[in-house]
Amino acid sequence: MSFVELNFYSDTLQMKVDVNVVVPDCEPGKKTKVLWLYHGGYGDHSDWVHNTNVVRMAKERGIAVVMPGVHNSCFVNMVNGPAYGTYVGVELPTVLRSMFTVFSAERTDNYVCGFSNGGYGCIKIGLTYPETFGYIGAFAAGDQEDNEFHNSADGWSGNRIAMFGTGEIKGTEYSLKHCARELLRSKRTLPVVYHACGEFDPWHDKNQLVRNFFEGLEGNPFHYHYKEYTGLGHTNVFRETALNDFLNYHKIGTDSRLR
Amino acid sequence: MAWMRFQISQHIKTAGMPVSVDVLFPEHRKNNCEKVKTLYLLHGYHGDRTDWLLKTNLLRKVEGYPIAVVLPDGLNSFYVNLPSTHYFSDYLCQELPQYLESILPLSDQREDKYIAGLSMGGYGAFRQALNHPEVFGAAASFSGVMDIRAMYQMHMTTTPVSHIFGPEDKLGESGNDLFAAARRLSEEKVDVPKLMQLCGTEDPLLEPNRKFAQALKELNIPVMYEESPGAHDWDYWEQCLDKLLNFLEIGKEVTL
Repeated sequence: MSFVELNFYSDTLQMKVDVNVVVPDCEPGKKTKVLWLYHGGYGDHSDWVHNTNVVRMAKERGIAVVMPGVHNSCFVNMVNGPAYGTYVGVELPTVLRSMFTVFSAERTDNYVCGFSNGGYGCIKIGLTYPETFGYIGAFAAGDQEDNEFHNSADGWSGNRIAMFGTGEIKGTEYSLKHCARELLRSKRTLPVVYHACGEFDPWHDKNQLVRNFFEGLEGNPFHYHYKEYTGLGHTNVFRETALNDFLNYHKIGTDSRLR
Repeated sequence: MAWMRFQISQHIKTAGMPVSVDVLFPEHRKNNCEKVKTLYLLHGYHGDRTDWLLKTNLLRKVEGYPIAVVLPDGLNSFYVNLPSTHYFSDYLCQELPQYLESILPLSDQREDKYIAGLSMGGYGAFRQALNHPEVFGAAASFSGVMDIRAMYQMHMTTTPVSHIFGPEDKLGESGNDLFAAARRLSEEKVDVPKLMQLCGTEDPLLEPNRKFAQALKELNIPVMYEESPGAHDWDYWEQCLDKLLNFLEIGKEVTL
């Protein structure tokens, strides 16, 4: 197994980017499943590595992990900023598959997951590029459309405006519900959506709005599964546990090793 | 050029511990289906894998060439199999290329693999090329330490010389004496790698370099030997990089 720090020039973002990658051991001629794992607000490409045991988990399960840093962009194509959505959804898989020959390009081998802002991000990216990612795993995810915005002319507001503009997010590409509805209308392939949240999460109510939306869809077209964690909040313990359970749920590298 | 820093666990059995290696990878090359030529570039004594990257314009010079550059750590090993463990030579010639070729689209063909280095690394490049001519298609030495036998009389290394190269009376058969390795190679009917040997005229190692180049000539082993104004320093080794790219005859793909 290798742990790789990668730095390259992104044509999409027009700047150098940092990515951390776990390359598992693979039988000759075989390809590995890939987990695309997104950080939360104020985080970067080192976030999951420093705050959880993701590297050890990946090694034990024999899965590759790609952890990009997106500079507080929420993984979206910003209204007034670079196109981080296209970067993580299109360019990053293309570049990494051209580098790491053991990465499987089958959608059923590709999982997109994230925590907090990355939870929102992974649902958005998974719904936007369903031919690339077969599975979504969102850990503490709210829909940006459910956040009321009052411009207080501070740094946070400035960041919000740069990402989403000043107006409503409802009905735009930045709304998870809008993305889901559009995808259903388009008749393209659909990802499987898994969503976890801790009972003490400060944004628990926002998570429930996402849950209500998906559970309200007739026929459960996204095979949506929700898991609530009693006793946990918006913490590193929560996200590490949630990731581990997600990997168990999809039987990734478990064999006899469900833990 | 993408920069990658690998921490490789458990694949390098000879090391018995994780190894770090830096790789410069041409992610914007024209033909993504072709396997990539690879240059293994070695640092000198007191150095590590970051030397070439931090002290020269290596990345700027290789930008646009369809070649990957692998920068391994050699510690102060002279890139030999140490008497205590089989490590650096086996690592460079077998384990590292095999591992990297299994996960990156690097060519495993001899004619697509090159090895070069400065000082201890110049010696290291020639040591691998002369003892394992089937692995690398070309090798280059910049200010190389060519005369190991002479080192037994000196006290320049922190470790006793015999702890690196083995006992003096076994030096000839160990593969660590370049003169003996060249003699053995000239007797075998094998393809000899393309060789380039550079040394600065102000370098204290000039005499052993001349002696070695002369020995290759007498053995009818072709080598491009060149002396030019320069000392045992990074200014000189930076110029060697330009000469190396010409020597390897890899066409530049992209003008940036």
